[in-house]
Amino acid sequence: MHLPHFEITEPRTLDDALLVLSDHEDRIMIKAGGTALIPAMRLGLANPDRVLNISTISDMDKIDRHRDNCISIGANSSLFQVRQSSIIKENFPALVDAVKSISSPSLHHSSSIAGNICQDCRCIYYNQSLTWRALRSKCFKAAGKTCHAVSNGNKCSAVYRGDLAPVLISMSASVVLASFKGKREIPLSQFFKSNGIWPNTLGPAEILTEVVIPIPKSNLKVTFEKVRIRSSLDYAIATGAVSVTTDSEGTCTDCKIVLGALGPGPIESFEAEKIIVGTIPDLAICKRAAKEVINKIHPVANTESTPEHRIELAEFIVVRCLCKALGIGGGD
Amino acid sequence: MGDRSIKLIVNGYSYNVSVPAETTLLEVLREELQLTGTKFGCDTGECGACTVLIDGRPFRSCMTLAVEVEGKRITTIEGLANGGELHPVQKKFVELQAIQCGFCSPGMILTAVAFLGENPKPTRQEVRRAISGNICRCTGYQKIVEAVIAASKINGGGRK
Ligand SMILES: Cc1cc2nc3c(=O)[nH]c(=O)nc-3n(C[C@H](O)[C@H](O)[C@H](O)COP(=O)(O)OP(=O)(O)OC[C@H]3O[C@@H](n4cnc5c(N)ncnc54)[C@H](O)[C@@H]3O)c2cc1C
Ligand code: SF4
Ligand code: FES
Ligand code: FES
Repeated sequence: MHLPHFEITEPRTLDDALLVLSDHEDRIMIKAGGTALIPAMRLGLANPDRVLNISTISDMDKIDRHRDNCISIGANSSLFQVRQSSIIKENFPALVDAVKSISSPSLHHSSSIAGNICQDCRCIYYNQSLTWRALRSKCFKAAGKTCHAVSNGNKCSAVYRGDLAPVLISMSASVVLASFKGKREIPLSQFFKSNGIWPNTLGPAEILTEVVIPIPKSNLKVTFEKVRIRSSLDYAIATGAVSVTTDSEGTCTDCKIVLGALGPGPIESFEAEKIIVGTIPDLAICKRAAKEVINKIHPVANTESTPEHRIELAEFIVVRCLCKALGIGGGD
Repeated sequence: MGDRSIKLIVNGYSYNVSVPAETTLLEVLREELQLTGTKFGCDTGECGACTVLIDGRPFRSCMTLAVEVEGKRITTIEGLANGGELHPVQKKFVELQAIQCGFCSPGMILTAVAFLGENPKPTRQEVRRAISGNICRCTGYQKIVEAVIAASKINGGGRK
C-alpha cells in the first residue's frame, strides 16, 4: 500500500526546524530514521500533513563528553553509532546490551536514539492494518469510545515498548528539549506520563535534541534484561533495568529498578528499591524486592503474551538484574 | 506542492525522477527504474527483503523515502557483481545452495555484504545475529550462514 500523501520539510539546522514547528498550521510530525513512524503511517495510525525530516540536521548525532561528568548523545545518533561508540561501551555497557536487543542489527543504521525514546505505545488491537481495524469499532487510542483489550475499560492501556527508556532512567539520564523559546533539560523519568494514547510530555513545538547521562562512579553497576517471543525483530513482552551502588562493605546505598513493556510508560518501583537500599543484599532480599515490583504493574491482554506470563517475567527479570548487578549467584 | 525532481545514483548510474514526498525508495526502484531484484515483502520493516545499501550501509527501502536519498550512493542486488563477475557473497550463495525460492536472497546478500564490511572474520553466531532481521521461509538459514562464512574467507568478501 502506498503511503498517504504528505509534504516534507528538510531543515539543515535545528533553528530552521524549530521555526517550522513553531508556526505550522497543518498537522506536522517529526521524522528521524522513520523506522517507527513510516510503518505507523502505512497502517494509517499517523496521518501528518507535513513531515519534518530532522535527520537532515547536521551536528545532532554527536556522542561526546561535553559537560562535567556527563556524556551527551545527540538525538539523531543511530543505534549503530551508540553500540559502536567507545565512550558508550566503556561507561554504559548496559545501554549497549539494550541497544543490541532492539529489532535487529541491520535496522540499527536507520534507527535513532531519540526516535526510540519518543516512539508511541503499541497494542495488538491498534498496530494493525486499516482493513483489520475496520472490523472493530474504534478504540480510545483511535479517538473512539471503547477498549478491546479490557472489557468495560475506561482508558487506553497500550504498552510503551521502547527498550532504551527503562535502562536510561535507571542510569538517571535526562533529556534536552528545545523549542523556539529556548531549551529545557528534564529527567527522563519525568518525560513520560503513563498514558497509552500518547506516552510523553513533549510539547507540539519541541524537539528532543540530546540525551545526557551522568558518568557512573566505579561502584555503580547497571544491568538490563529483555524477553521477547523471537530473539530478533519482536518487541519486548517484558523488560527491566536495575542500577545499584554499593559501599566498600557491600551495603547498597542507592538502587533504581525500572521496568518496561508492562504498561503505558516505563515503571519505577520505589517500594522495591527501598527493600534493597541499606542492606547487604542476598538472593532472598532480591526476591522480596521482585515480589514487591509486582504490586506496581498491571499488564492487560494486549501483547503477544498473557498478563499472567508478563507478571512472572517481571519478577524473574528483576531478580536476574539485581543478582547480576550485585554479583549474587542463583538469580536464574 | 507537487512532485519533486530528484537525482538518484543507483549502481553507479544516475537517474532523474520526479516523485511526491511519500514515495519510497522501494517504489522508485521497482516501478520507475524496473530494478525488481529488490523485493517487496512485508512493507512494514519486518522482513528485510527490500534491503539495499545506501553509502555501503543496509537500509530497508520500504521505510526509506526516495527524496531522502538524493545524491547518496545506492547499491541494489543488480549492481553488486563486478562487471560479469559475481560478488564473493553471491558466488558462495549459489555454490552452497543458500538460495531456494530466492525471494529473501537479494536482501540477505546485501545485508551480509554490509556486515562483512564491518566484521570481516565473523563467527557463525555473529553471522546469525547479523542476518536475524532478514526472514527466509525456505532454507532454514543453515546454508545461508555457511555461505556467509565461506565468503568471509575470500578476499573482498565485504567489498561493497
Ligand atoms: C521490525 C521492527 C522491530 C522493532 N523492534 C523494536 C524493539 O525491539 N525495541 C524498540 O524499542 N523499538 C523497536 N522498533 C522501533 C524503532 O525501530 C526504534 O524504536 C527506533 O529506534 C526508532 O527510531 P527512528 O529514528 O526510526 O524513529 P522515527 O520513526 O523517526 O520516530 C519515532 C517517533 O519519535 C518521534 N521523534 C523522533 N525523533 C524525535 C526528536 N528528536 N524529538 C522529538 N520527537 C522525535 C517521531 O515523531 C515519532 O513519533 C522496531 C521497528 C521495526 C520496524
Ligand atoms: S489498550 Fe484498548 S484503547 Fe488502547 S489501543 Fe489497545 S484496544 Fe485500543
Ligand atoms: S518489505 Fe521492507 S522490510 Fe519487508
Ligand atoms: S530462499 Fe525462499 S525465502 Fe529464503
